[in-house]
Amino acid sequence: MTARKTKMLPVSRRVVMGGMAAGASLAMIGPGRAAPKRGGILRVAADFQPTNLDPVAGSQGGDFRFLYPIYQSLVDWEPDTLKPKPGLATKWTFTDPTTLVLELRQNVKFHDGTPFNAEAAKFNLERSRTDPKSNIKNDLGSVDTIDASGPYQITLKLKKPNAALPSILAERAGLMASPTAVQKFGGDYPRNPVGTGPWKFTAWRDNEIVSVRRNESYWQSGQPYLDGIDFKIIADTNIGLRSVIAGENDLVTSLSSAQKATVDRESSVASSFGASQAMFPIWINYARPPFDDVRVRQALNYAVDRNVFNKATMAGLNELAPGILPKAHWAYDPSIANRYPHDVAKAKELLAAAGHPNGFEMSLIGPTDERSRQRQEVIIEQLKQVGITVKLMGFSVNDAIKSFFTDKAGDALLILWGGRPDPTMTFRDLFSKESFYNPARTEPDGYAAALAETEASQDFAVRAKALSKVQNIVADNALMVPLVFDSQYVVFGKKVKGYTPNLFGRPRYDDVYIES
Amino acid sequence: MKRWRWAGNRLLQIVPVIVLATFLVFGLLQLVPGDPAVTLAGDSATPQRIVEIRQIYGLDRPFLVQYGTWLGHAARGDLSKSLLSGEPVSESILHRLPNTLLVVAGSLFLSLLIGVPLGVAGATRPGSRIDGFITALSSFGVAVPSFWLGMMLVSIFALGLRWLPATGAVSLGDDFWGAIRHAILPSLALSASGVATIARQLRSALGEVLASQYVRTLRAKGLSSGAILWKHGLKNVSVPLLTVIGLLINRLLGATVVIEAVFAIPGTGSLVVNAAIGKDFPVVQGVVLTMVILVIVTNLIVDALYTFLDPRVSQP
Repeated sequence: MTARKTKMLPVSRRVVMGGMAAGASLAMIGPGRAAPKRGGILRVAADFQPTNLDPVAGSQGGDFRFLYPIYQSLVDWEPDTLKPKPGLATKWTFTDPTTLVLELRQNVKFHDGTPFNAEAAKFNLERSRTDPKSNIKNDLGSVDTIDASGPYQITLKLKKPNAALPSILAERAGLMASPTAVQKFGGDYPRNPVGTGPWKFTAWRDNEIVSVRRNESYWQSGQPYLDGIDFKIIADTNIGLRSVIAGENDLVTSLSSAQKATVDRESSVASSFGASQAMFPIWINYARPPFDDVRVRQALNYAVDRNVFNKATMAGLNELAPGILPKAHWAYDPSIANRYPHDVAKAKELLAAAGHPNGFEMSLIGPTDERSRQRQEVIIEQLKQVGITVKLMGFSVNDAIKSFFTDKAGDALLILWGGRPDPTMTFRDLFSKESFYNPARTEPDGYAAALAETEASQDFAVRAKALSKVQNIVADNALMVPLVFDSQYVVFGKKVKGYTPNLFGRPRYDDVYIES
Repeated sequence: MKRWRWAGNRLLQIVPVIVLATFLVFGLLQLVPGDPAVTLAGDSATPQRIVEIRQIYGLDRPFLVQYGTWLGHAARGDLSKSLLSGEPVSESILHRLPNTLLVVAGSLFLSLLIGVPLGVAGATRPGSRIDGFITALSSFGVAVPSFWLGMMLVSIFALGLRWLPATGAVSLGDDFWGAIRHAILPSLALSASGVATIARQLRSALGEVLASQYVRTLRAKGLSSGAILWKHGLKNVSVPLLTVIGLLINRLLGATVVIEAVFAIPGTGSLVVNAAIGKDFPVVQGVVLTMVILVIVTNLIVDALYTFLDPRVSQP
């Protein structure tokens, strides 16, 4: 070896990530009503790479933005209310409370030419329950048997009544993949996904790009408008926003409301700001003392100032969450709204009554990214006002979820809840004693019966009434501290038209077109 | 013949270095909290499901078995697939490495283009105002964080003047000039510390040479300052300069991690960061392997060049 003759100067490089994007303006532009134009590739800056493009094997809700262009579900939903509407199933009927018959759309082909029919649908539903890589084996847990009862008809026999089943078929379990492709590609299927959607999958390079191109034989005539979509994966939404301002991408999703000020300064872009049912709550493990005392949980609900939280973390733009469902939801119960106003004195009184006149110390689990940290800091400060000292435990998102729900570490968790397509699923997943998302594994008396009531009828008005009872049980028992709903803040170039937000907060591009 | 044997020996040394480096990184990944099985299992996974996932992906096997399996495959040229996304690792690297190398090469080129004249100017006029300015500038260059500089450059040249793209990368093969245009701002942002290092090292090495007795003799002999500088000065500092360049390349390869994030460049830096966060060890291992090879080859080339530049240096 040759001796190095020169000594290097010690150079230290401080790697401090952060900083804001340099500017952007917002004009509230609704979906365009002029005749949509056909053609063009939409370049989308996405902050997230799909965990998997096999619908049954994915692990995060963010996957849907990549799944919807490629796949379609048996049941679809209305963007503004989330009520089920026909998808690949043109209609469905409960012939009796435990039998669901679905009529399937005819003349639909998968991208590889495989016809979509009852056999294909049965194959997919069975697969969600049996494929070793399926993460949704329990989604169809209430289903006993699946039969192809006609060439375009399937019949599901249930173990017990389940009015939420059509909505479950709007989720991963209902997304239809080509049986031919699944069998042909085997373990490589996630990188060769084939559905019936408006666009065909063409490329996925990790953390770089996911591309889809027009499905020429799409069953819905005239659709889609776009020739294709290129999802460029840019993890930092500030940089994604910058790329749209610079004209290198056409649209950026998942922006934080706090970025609106930056966007407002820029005249070259337009934006869409929509409500979402996704919500930031403080989850409580109410098996752990002192949270097993309802007064302590109520005190937490009085202690938080949702308005200040919204102002500090979402620029005050989002909908406050006094309850679990947003105002636009069909099952929203307005009587919940004023149950827990911000009231420090009341919170202290309840704590004293519960035997904690001087407060106590609690642990809070949360992710360690910048935005999450900000939310945690506001909550820590608000709880301090009533004498509660918060000890913070930071993890990655997945590990935070695991430590709170699986390992049952920590008293509370502050993380986004994405919501479910059907409110019965939402309330079952959040508070049922057998649910993963209820680490206490206990539930208030009568909760199961109240939930069962919501599934007894198909009528939305009847169900809303039953769901109101459920919402009241949740509020009375202060099972959670809902804070504020997420928003869907999407910014796009001025030529992009027709973007419509949905209450689910899952960007879809079916109606989007590029003006020349 | 001797030279070839030397090169062969040096190449053989790569093997233990690679094994050691990949083993250490693999070990470190095990120590970091987090579990890829949790990531793979998704939001509402039961403990049983996580155990199942560990079995499916072979994550339940002992540490040494997992490493041994990876090494065995790697030795046969199979870098296996990403645990999380299933993309073949060699494909990810082959696709992304050119983007990273282009920025590194661009940044090295700019470092030399700006750093060498500055260093020469400082050394030939020691103590002058220019010298002081260069010292200040190079202190700034070392101190300024590249991501900050990157964002400033973007806001001025990309968003303000619209001269250059703000994000992304284009493959050289697809569009040569497009690729160069995309690489300019990131290279510039990354070159600040390179410019500073080269200017400073060159200034001190050249200053020393120009103050030496043999230069005084040359000057007494009546040789012009230009001839002294170009024929004797620079030739004598070429070895230390080469050392600086070698070290600079290695450092730039690491520093691209930050710049790739700022400019949303799909390169190996962003690849390894994402993989490390997700504990996607086949990808991390693949990138480490590539980087180790790159660094060793760089050092090998630098060492070989010494022998051409300085006849006193001979191979062992």
